[in-house]
Amino acid sequence: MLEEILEVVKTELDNSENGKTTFSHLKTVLPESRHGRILDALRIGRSQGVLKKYVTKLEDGSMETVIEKVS
Amino acid sequence: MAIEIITEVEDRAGKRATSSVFILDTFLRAQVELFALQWSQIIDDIILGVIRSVTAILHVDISALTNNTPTASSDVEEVGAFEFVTTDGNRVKCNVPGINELLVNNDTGQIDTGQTAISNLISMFEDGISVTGGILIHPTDIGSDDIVGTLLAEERFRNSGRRR
Repeated sequence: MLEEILEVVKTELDNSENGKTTFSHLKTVLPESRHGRILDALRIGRSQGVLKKYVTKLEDGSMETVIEKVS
Repeated sequence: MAIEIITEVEDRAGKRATSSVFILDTFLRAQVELFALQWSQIIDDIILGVIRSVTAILHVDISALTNNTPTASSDVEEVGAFEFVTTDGNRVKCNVPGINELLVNNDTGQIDTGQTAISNLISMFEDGISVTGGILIHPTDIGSDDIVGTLLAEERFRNSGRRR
């Protein structure tokens, strides 16, 4: 399951204009039953060196987990 | 805002209490450490107990936060208990009082890591927050060892030790 989620994450990163996506966006493209495993999948991606993530404040003032493609 | 220097004193019975002083937050870290050490020396000279710790706390302007009114169901004894692990395998705990029950699974007591707000907290511990200039500030344990994983996220109940 985690590899499937990670593949979705990689696809979203490849399709994004700036090589970034957000946790909230990933929730919109993954079924609700997978939401609780997104962080686990992201840890795998981080350990593989294919992505990094961090928290930042968006322009609307909200906090968001950003996932960034590592090239 | 100000930096608070807290000196913790222990008596013969093992009871601990603190004394604190505030200073401006415009000084360099080394200057603050030197002040804190010398302040503690002054305290040390006038007590019968033993100083167990001296810490410096930076007080932050929180006027921009939007949760200004506690809701009827808010309860600081309902705690979001998080436990993380560092690169050296050390455990770091973080208890968040007043956890929103909507973020907790009623059946298991587990905190829902699929919620964006919880993802932010866990990602902050594991990966850090991006601040000005693209700098990432990354939490560590007390020995400056990086936090790299999450061991536990669940609701617990704890006496606040304070009544009104």
